[in-house]
Amino acid sequence: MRLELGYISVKDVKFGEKTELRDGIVYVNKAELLETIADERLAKLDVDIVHPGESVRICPVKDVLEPRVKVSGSGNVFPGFFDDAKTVGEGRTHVLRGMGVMTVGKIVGFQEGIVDMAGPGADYTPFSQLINLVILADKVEGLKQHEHEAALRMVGLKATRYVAEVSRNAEPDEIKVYETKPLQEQLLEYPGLPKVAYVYALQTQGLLHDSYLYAVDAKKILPTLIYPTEVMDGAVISGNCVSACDKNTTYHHLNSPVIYDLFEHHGKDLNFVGVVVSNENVTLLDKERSSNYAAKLIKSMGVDGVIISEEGFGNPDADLMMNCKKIEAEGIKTVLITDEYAGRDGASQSLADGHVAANAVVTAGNANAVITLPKLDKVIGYVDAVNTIAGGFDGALAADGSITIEIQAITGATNELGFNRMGGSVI
Amino acid sequence: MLTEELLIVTNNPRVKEMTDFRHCWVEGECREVIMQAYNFVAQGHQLISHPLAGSIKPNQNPYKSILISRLSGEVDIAALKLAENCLRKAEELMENKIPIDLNVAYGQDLQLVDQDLLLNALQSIQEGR
Repeated sequence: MRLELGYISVKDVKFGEKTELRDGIVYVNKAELLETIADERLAKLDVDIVHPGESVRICPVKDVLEPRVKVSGSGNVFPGFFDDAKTVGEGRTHVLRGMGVMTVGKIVGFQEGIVDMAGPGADYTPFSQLINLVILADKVEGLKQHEHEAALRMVGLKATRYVAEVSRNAEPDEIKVYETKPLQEQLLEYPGLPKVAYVYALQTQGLLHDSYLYAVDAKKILPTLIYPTEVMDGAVISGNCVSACDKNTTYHHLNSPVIYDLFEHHGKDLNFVGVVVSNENVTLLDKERSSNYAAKLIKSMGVDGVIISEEGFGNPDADLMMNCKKIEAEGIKTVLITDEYAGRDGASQSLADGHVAANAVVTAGNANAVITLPKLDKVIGYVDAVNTIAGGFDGALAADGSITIEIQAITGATNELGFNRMGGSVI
Repeated sequence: MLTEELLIVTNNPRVKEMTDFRHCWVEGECREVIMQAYNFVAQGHQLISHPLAGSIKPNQNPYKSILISRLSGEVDIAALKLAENCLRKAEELMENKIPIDLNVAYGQDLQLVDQDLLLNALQSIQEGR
C-alpha cells in the first residue's frame, strides 16, 4: 500500500462567510459548521478558535483531531464512520498541518484534560502548538453518559471532515510518500536489515475507555494485521477520555511517532513490515487471548523485532507485559513504550506489572510529577473538576487562581506513542 | 462462565443493586476491595477481572468492583502476584488520597464508570461460556 500525504501548512484559522482555504488561511463559516455537526442529543454547540500563545485554558478536552481528506484512492478518512468501510491507506490524502479540531464536553463530572495555550502548562501538551478549532458541546437534559460520549465523538469526526474538505484541491507544500508492500514482498525487500513490526495496543474497556478500528469497537476484535498507512487515514480513532496524559487522541493516532519514525528508518537500518492492532480489555482471559493471538501473528510474520506500545494506566501494564513475554518467548526482541506512575518524587515502582523479558523500555515520563499552572485570562469549558480533583490533588485551586496538579491532568503530557514534549538528554 | 459461578467483590452501591449476582460487600475504599480480592485469590479463587481496570486511579475513584470465581481451587500464583502488584500500586497512589465529596454529582459518575467496566467484563466472559 502506497500513500502520499500532501501537507498543507495552515497559517491561520478564522471565521468567514465561506468555508474555504485561501492564501494558507482556513476560513470557517461558523453557522454552516454548526449545522453540519448538529445533533439532537446535544443542546448547545459553540465554536471558538484559539492560537498558540493566547492566555486560554481549555478543559475538559475530549478529543483532538487533524483535518485530513482522501483526494485519491479507496475509501474515506475515518472509514466505517462515513459512507462505507472501504479499506483506506493508499492513494493521496491531504493534511491541514498546524491546526487541530478539539472537542470539549463534560461527559462525567470528574473529567479532566487540560490544554493551556500559554504558560508553563503549554510546554506539556503538543496541542498548545496548534491553531485549534474548539467545539464546546453540552448535552440535552437526561442524556446518558454513553450517548453523550458517542455524540461528542461524532461531532469531532464530522467537524474534522467538514473542515478537511477545503484542502481537497489545494497544492500541498510538501508531499511525503509512505509505502508498505504485501507482507511476503515486504519481508524480502531489504535482505540484511532487521524486520520490525509494531504491536499497537488500544485502550478498550468500556465507558470513557474505548477505541475504534474501522468503526468497530476494538474490544471486540482479535489482534489483526493492518498496513501502517491505514492508520494515517484514520482507521483508528479515539473514544477514550481518561487518563488525559496518556490517552491517545485521534490526532495521536493519525500522527503516531512510532509509525512515522519506523518509516524514517525503513530501508535504512530496518525493514518496517506492518502493524498488529491489539486491545486492552478488562478480563484476564481477554488479555491472555489477545496477547496469545498477537504473539502468534507476530511469529507468523517472521520478524526479528517488535515495538509494543500501551495506552492508559494500571491494567494495560499487564497487556504490555503479556505481549512482551510471549513475543520474546518466540525469540523475537521487543522494545516497550509506556509512561510511569512513580509517585510525585518519582521513587515508587513505575508500573503495576513487570517481567524479566521487559529489558528494553522507553518511558514517556512520570504522570505523577507536579506542576503549578497560573491563572489564564480565558477558560473554554469547565474547570471545576480540575480545581478539585484532577491529577489526584486536594484543593488544587489557590487564592490567586493558579492550580497545582499532577501532569496526568494535562492532555497528552505522557503520551505512550511518544507524541509528547518531554525527553531526556545526556549531560 | 455462568452467573452463579461468579462473585463480585465490590464497594460500589450501584453494583450491589445487580441482584442476579453474588456479592462480597466491602466496607472501605478501593484499597480494601483489592485487598479482599487478593485474599480470595490467595485462597484459590480465580481472578477474572483485572483489579486495576480503568484509567481512573485508586486515589481518584473510591469505588471498585472486581470479578472472581465463586468456587476455589488451586492457587494461581501468577494471578496472586498480579493482585499483589495492583495492591501495592493502589497503596502507593493512596498516599496522595484526595477527600472526594461523593454527595456531589460526580459521585454517581464514579460509580457508573466502575460498573461499566464490570459490565464489559461480564459481557466478555458470558459470551464465551
